[in-house]
Amino acid sequence: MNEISDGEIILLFKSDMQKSFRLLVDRYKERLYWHIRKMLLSHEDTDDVLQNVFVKVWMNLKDFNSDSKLYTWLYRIATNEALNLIGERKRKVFGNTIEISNILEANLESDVYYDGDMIQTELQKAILKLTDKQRLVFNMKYFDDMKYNDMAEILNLSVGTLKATYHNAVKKIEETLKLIDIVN
Amino acid sequence: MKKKFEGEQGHKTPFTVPDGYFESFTDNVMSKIKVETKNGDVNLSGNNDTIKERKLSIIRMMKPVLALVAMVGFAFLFVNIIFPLVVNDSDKIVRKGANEVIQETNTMTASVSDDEFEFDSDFNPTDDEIADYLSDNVQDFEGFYKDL
Repeated sequence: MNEISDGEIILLFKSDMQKSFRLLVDRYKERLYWHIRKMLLSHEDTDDVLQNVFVKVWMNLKDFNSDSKLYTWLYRIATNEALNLIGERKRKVFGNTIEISNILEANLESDVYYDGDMIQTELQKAILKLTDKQRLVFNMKYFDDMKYNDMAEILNLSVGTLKATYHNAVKKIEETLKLIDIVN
Repeated sequence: MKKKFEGEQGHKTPFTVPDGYFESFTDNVMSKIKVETKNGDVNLSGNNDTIKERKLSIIRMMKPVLALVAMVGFAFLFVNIIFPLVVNDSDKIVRKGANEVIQETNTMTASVSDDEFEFDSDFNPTDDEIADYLSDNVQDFEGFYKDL
């Protein structure tokens, strides 16, 4: 049996919203989950954001322009929602001079759904030292091996900018890891 | 750096999820959408609701403007209608009160001059008559009189 395409899911949404939406959620829930999780680190936050992402998708799918890729559109919503949550947290801690990276690091260490070893933990901590944009680009390239063209569409950045951002992020991580003698 | 991590760990993330999380996720999202539909936040059915939802969001957007217009309207009414009425009423009360006081004073003055303080040019009491009057009406008359 041939797998239904994204375009067919969108067409089906006009006649059978619930069936089409279930197909869409089933297809993208894991990919979007990991994309958000790498930004937020905590499972609880990721679950909340992912549910909100799909609620937004439900509300706006009827207006979705089928000329653009469904998967790009979904990633863009997920990215925005994750960054919004980080933005909210930043605003909440602004007066207390607590860095958002410290909060995320605390989330990482207290999360029961994290079982990284020493090297993975140090890598995650080094990633936390990047800017939001560098972190996003690094995660998408390093862990998801996403194509620069797709990333450009999702993040609305040029391929050149993305390559430079990734390069800078890698350099920064290497420097951080050198300090703790993980990378020579 | 990538190769080192790739060699030892691959590109897998060190994160995990609760058992059965992805299996139940779709049902959880559909339930959430149903709940939010009941609350009127999300549209679960056809296009009519979409229009209703858009109308609601326009009302939501216009709320602050409507509130501002209502406040300005109330301020206009207050300055032009309610305030002058209140001021006129209190003015009337003050004027009425003043007239009443003047009238009362006039009445009192009239009654006093009529009854008690009419000057009698023929009245010319003797010293004895004055002493008798004082002894009847003033208690310390004796001492007072002695001092004189």
